[in-house]
Amino acid sequence: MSNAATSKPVSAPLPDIHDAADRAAVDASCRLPVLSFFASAVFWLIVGTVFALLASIKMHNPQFAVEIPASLAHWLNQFYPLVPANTVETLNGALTFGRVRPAHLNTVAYGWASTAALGVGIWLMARLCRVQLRYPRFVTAAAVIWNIGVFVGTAAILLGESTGVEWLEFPAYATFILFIAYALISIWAVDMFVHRRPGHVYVSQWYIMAALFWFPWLYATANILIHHESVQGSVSAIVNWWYGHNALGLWFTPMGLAAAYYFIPKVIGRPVHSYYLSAFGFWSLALFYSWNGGHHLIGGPLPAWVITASIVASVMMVIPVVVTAINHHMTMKGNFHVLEYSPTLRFVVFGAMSYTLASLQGTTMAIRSLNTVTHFTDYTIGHSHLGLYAFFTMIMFGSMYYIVPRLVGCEWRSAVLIKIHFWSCAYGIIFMVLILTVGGLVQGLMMRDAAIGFDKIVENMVVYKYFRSVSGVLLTVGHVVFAFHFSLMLLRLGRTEGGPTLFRPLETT
Amino acid sequence: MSEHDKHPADQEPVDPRLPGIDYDESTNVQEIHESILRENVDPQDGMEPMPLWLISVILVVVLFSGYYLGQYNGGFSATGFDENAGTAAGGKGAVAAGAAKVDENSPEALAKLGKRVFTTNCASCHTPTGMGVPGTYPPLVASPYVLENPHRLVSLVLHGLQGPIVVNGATFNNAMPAWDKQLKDKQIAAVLTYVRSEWGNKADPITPEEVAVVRKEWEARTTPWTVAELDKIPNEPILKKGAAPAAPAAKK
Amino acid sequence: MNRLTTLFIGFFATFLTAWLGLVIIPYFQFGQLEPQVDPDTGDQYPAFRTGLAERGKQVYQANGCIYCHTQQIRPADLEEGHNRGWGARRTVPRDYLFDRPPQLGTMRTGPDLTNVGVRLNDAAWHHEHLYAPQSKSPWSTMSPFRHLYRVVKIQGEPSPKALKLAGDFAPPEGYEVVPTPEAEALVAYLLSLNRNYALPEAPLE
Repeated sequence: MSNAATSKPVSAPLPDIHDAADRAAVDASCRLPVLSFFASAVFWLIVGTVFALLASIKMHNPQFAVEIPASLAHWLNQFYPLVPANTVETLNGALTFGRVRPAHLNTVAYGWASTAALGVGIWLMARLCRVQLRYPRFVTAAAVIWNIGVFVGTAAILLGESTGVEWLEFPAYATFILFIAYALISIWAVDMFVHRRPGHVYVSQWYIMAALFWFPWLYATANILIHHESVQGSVSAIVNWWYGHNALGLWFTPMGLAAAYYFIPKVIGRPVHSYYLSAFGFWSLALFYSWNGGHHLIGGPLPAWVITASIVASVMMVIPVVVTAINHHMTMKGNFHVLEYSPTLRFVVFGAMSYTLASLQGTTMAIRSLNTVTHFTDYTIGHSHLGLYAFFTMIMFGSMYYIVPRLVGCEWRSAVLIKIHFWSCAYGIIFMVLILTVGGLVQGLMMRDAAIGFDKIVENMVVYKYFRSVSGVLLTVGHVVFAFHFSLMLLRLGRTEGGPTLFRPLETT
Repeated sequence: MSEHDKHPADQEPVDPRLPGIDYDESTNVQEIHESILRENVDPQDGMEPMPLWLISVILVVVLFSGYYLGQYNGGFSATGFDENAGTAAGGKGAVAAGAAKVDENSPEALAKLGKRVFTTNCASCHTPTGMGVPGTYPPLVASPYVLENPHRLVSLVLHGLQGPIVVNGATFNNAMPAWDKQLKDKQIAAVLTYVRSEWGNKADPITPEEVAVVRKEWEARTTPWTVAELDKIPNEPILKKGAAPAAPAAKK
Repeated sequence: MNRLTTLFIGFFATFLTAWLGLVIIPYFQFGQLEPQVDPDTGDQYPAFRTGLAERGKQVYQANGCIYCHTQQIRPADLEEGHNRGWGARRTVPRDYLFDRPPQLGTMRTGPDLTNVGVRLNDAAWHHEHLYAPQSKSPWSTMSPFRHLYRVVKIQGEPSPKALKLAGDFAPPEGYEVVPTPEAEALVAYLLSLNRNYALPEAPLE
C-alpha cells in the first residue's frame, strides 16, 4: 500500500462534490480582496528587503550610500526652483541609517507582515465561515487605504518626520489612515462571523477574531497616550513596549497560529490532535502574552513590580507555547513524510517549529541573569528575526503557496522556483539567527567587562555584521524569486495541467 | 434561511463554473477544479485529553511564577526600583548609602568621591585605567602634569586645553574641555586627589580650598589654555602659609 | 450569536487585565510625578530644557539615534555603565519627566548617552563627530550625518562656526563645513543630557 506517496491518506473522508463547489464559490468571492492584500504584501516585502540590505551594509560600512550620486544631484539641481533648494540634502538625509532602519521595520511589519496576515486571515475567515466573502469591494478598499497609510508613513520617516518611538514611528496622519483601514476589516470580520454557516467554530477563527479585536485597541491606546497625550517618560516607555510586544504577540502570533492550525491538518488530511489543547493554548496565550511588554525594559526606569510582572508573564508563556507545540506535533506524527512533497506544509511546519523555538528563547531572555548579558545586543535582533521571519513570514509564505492557486485558477509554474525560495530563505534565516545570537552573546559578555574598551567591542562586532549582510543577501534572493513567481501567477501564467506543484512528483499507486 | 443553511440535499444545484474564467480558453473544466477537488476536508478537531505530565509542568510553572512575583515585587510601590529589596540578598544599597557619610572630607572619602567623578567625567577619554588612548588622549599614569605643580594641574582642569601637548615623549593634539562650570570645587579636588593617588601615582592630595583659590585667580579666563601659557604658571604651593590667598592685582 | 458574545467577553477580559496593569495603573502610580527642587540652591532636577535643546530632541528622534544609542543606566548588578563612565547611578522615572517620548533606546551599537553632556561637554567635538564620526573615533561604525551640515565656499572671513576637520575629512580648499540649525539644535540637546544629580529615590552610587 503506497499511501505514503499520496497526499490524501486513506483515513480522510473523500470531499463531497457540493462541499467542493461551495469552496470554489468561496474562493472565487475572495479573489479581488485577498489578491489585493497579497500583491501589496509582496510589494512591501521587496521594499522592506531593500531597506534591510541598506541598513545592514551601513552597519559595517558606514560610508556606504551616504549621499546620492553626484551626477543625480547635479541633474536635480538643474530644475531649481521647480525642485526645492535643499532637495539633495533631504534625499541624502533619507539615506542615513537612522532613517533607513525604521523604514525597514515599518515596511516589513505594517507593509509585508500585516497585509499578508490580513490576506490570509480574510481567506481563512471566508473558508471557515463557509460563506462567500461579503462586501468584497469594501475589503479591497481597506487594502487600498492600508497601502496609502504605509506609503505615507514610510515617506514621512525617510523625510525626517519619524516620531522616534520604536514600532510607532509613523506620524499621526499616517497612523490614522492605518487605523481606519484596520477598523474596516475588524467590522467586516464580525459581520462575516455573524453570517457564518452554523456549525462548529474552529480554533483558527478564535485567533483571527481575537487579533482583529485586540489590535485596534492596542494601536489606538498607544498612539493616543504616547503621541497625543504625551504622557510622562516612564509611562510612555511602558506603553510603548506594551504595544510593541503585543503587536507581535496579539496580532502577528495569532494570525500565524491560525494559519498553522488550518494548514497543517488540512494538507495532511487529519484532524488536529486535541480540542482541549487548542482551547487551553488559546486562552492561556490571551491571558499571559499581553503582560510581557515590560521585559523590554528590564533594568530600565520603572518600578520593580512592573518588570517582575512582565518577567513572570514571560515565564508563564511556556504554557501556551508547549501546549501548542504538542498539539501540532501530535497532529503531524506519522505524517512527516508529507514535508517531502508539499511546499505549503514545509513552510508552515518550519514556521511552527520556529515559533516554539523563538518563544522558549524569549522566556529565557526575560530572566534577569541572562538579560544582563543579552539586553542591548544583537542577540535581541536575532530573537526578533527568529520570531517575525522564521515563524511568521515562513508561515505566510506557506499559506500563500496554498491560497494563490485557488484564487487565480492555475498552479504555481515552477517547482524549481519554489525550491530556491524555500532553501535560500531557510538557510538565510538560520544563518542570520546564528550569527546574531553568537555575536550578541560575545557583545554582551564584553560589555559586562568594563576593562574592555567600547572601541574594542565595536571592532569585534564588525565581522558579525558583515556575515549578517551575507545572510540578508540569501533572503533577498528568496524574496526576489518569490515575487517573480507570484507575479507570474497574477498574470495567470501558471500551469493548468499536471496537478499541484510539489517539491517532488507524487509516485502513482 | 439562506441557501447555505439548508441541508446540502435541499440546496439548489450550485453552478460549478468559477465566475470570471473564460472556459473556452481552458482545456478542461475538471482541471480548473482540480485544486479544489483534491483538497482534503477542512480541519476537524480531535478530542484527545490533555496529558497528565503536561498538567504537572503547568502547575510547576505557575508555582514558580507565583513565588517569583512574591519575592521580587519591590513592594509594588512607585519608588521600589530594587527588586531585591526585602529579600535576603537585598537592601544592601540602602545600607551602603547610609554608611558612606563618614567623614566626608578625609582623603579616603575624597578619593572615593574622586573615583566617581573620574569615571563619570574623565574616563571616557583618559580611560578607566588612566592610560589614555595612544595618539589621541594623554595618559595620567606617571604624567608630570599630574604629579608635579598642583597649581598648574588645577588651572588646567578648570579651563581645559587646546593645541599640542607632549606627555612622556608622546605628542597629543586634541581638545580637553573646561570643567569650571561642570564641577564644583569639592569635585575637582576629589578627582585630582584620586588621580594623584591611583595607578601607582603618588602625590599629595588637593583640597577644595586650593581649588577655590585657583578658580578665583583665573575667573576672567574664557578660552582654554595652551601648553605655553600653562608652563608659565609657577610651581608654588597654592595656599601660602600665613599669608592671605594670593590674587594677582591686575585682573579684569 | 451566543458563541460570538462568549468569545468577545473572553477577548475583552483577558486583554483588559494587562491594559489595566501595564497602562492604566502605571499612568496613575508614576505618571503624575513632579521634579525635585533642591531646598538650598533652588535648582530643579531634572531641569527644563532650553527651546533649542527641545528642538534638538526632535532632530534626535527624526534621525533615529535610538537605534544605536541608549539613554538609560541599569542598576550596578545588571550592568557596567557606572564603570564605563556612562553615569553615576541608575536612571529612574523622574529623570525622564520632560522626555515625552523618552529616547531610552534598545541597542548599544554605540555608547549610552544618558550623561553625554557631562563627559563630552564640548559642542565642537559633537559637530565634528556628527559630520565625520571616524575623525573623532577611528574605530566607529557610526554613519556620518552629513545632511545636517553644509559645505559652503568661504566668503571673506571663515565662519566662526566652521568645523575644524583634518585630512580626508576636511572639505576642499576654499570651502568650509558649517552646521545647519538642526545640527546646532541637536548638539544643544546632546549637551543638555545630564542625569548625574542625586534624587531621594536614587542616591549617587
